[in-house]
Amino acid sequence: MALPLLLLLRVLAAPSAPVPPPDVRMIRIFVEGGAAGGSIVRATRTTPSGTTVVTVLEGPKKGRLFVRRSQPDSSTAVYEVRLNSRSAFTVTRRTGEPLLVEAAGLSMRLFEADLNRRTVRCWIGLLAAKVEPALLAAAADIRTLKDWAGQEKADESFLPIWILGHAEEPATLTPKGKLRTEEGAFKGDPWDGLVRMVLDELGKP
Amino acid sequence: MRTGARVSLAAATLFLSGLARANGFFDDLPRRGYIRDDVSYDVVRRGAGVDRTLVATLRYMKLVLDPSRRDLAGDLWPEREMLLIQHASGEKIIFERISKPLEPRHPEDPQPRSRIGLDGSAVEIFVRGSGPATPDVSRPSACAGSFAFLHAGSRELPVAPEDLEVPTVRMGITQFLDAALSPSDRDLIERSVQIVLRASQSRSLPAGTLEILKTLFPGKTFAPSSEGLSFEAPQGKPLDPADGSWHSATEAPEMLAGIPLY
Repeated sequence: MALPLLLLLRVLAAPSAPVPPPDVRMIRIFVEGGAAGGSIVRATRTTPSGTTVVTVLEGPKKGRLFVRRSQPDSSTAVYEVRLNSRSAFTVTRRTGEPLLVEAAGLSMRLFEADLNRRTVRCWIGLLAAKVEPALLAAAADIRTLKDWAGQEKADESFLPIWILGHAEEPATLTPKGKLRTEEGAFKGDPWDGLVRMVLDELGKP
Repeated sequence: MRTGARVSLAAATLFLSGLARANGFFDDLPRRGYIRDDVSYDVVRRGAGVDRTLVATLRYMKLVLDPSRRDLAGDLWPEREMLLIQHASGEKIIFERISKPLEPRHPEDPQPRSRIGLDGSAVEIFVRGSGPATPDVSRPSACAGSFAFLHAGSRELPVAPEDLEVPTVRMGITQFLDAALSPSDRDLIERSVQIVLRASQSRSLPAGTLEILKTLFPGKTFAPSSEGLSFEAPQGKPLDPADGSWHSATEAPEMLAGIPLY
């Protein structure tokens, strides 16, 4: 009995492998010659259990959209999207199962091939509206932004945004002018606060 | 919180819209009807060495509902079919169907279509036609247009009629029914449907009220009872939908014999 306990104590006492610092990227997005743009901060941490990605997008009116992708185990990926401090619209992908979509204590199972069906689009819209009706418009804006930026495909961590887009709520954003992006190690407002936020989110289990 | 435990807990959570319907199933239906069809049977089991055993009593009625309007020809009046079944155990169930409903006050108002009434609960279907898809501020725009609305208690689930075969939709309807009906309710429905299908085969009992099953149990095949049942003239009083014990399930209208006079 004593031997396993000793082994356990040795394992616990052993220095754990250092956790690599997260990769943090800051991107300013703006319209050439236009008004104030948006700020994007994205942090990625890779551990032996998987990669966690947190992105926060802050618009000119200080609205914040959080997107988080984590991997609790090798067969599960959890995607969350949250507008400001409202509760999350969550999508869980498990190998060999339909997606699990959750919002405001409600849930539905979703086969991705069914996303274009009217009923499914309606259900997604209803679920999102339970969390925050503006989430649908925010998702539509992100899609508009992606197209505007000329991106072929959205980042995989934006899966909930892609799903919410099927509810086909109209976007509030109208592409006008040339969209520019600039990446750098920005300081000051709002960057310091946004970096702190994504790192906090990244640290959550 | 982002653990497998949370995921499995959430998986048990029902998907529902939680939108309580303002209007009840019977609220906009005329409260008086003329009896067009009326047939009752005792469902009995007989066999070699087995005495006549009463399994259930059933009554099918078709009412033509009087809309109290002189501008609407009689053949356009709404019809209400009621199929009441009382099992020998005392369990009661009613299948209902509304045909030719009156125009809704607003095109976007769903109309009552079919219903299964049980002791203390009901599953109902309302239908919103393909009329103008007026934007409804309380619903996402994806929910506009023609939809059926499954309704039970305070729960409501919109389903587009063309999507009944879609796996996601089937799974959602199953979740909805799991919350709306107890296992004994489902068993009662199954046993009752078997009897009705048998009566439909052997006595040509109209089974249109069972149409609701296509929406509630998409893809499921109900088979007629394989028991040696016979359908005989009732020995007692026919089931009365206006009777106290039935009334809560039927909200039966005033029922008149004969045909309306214009």
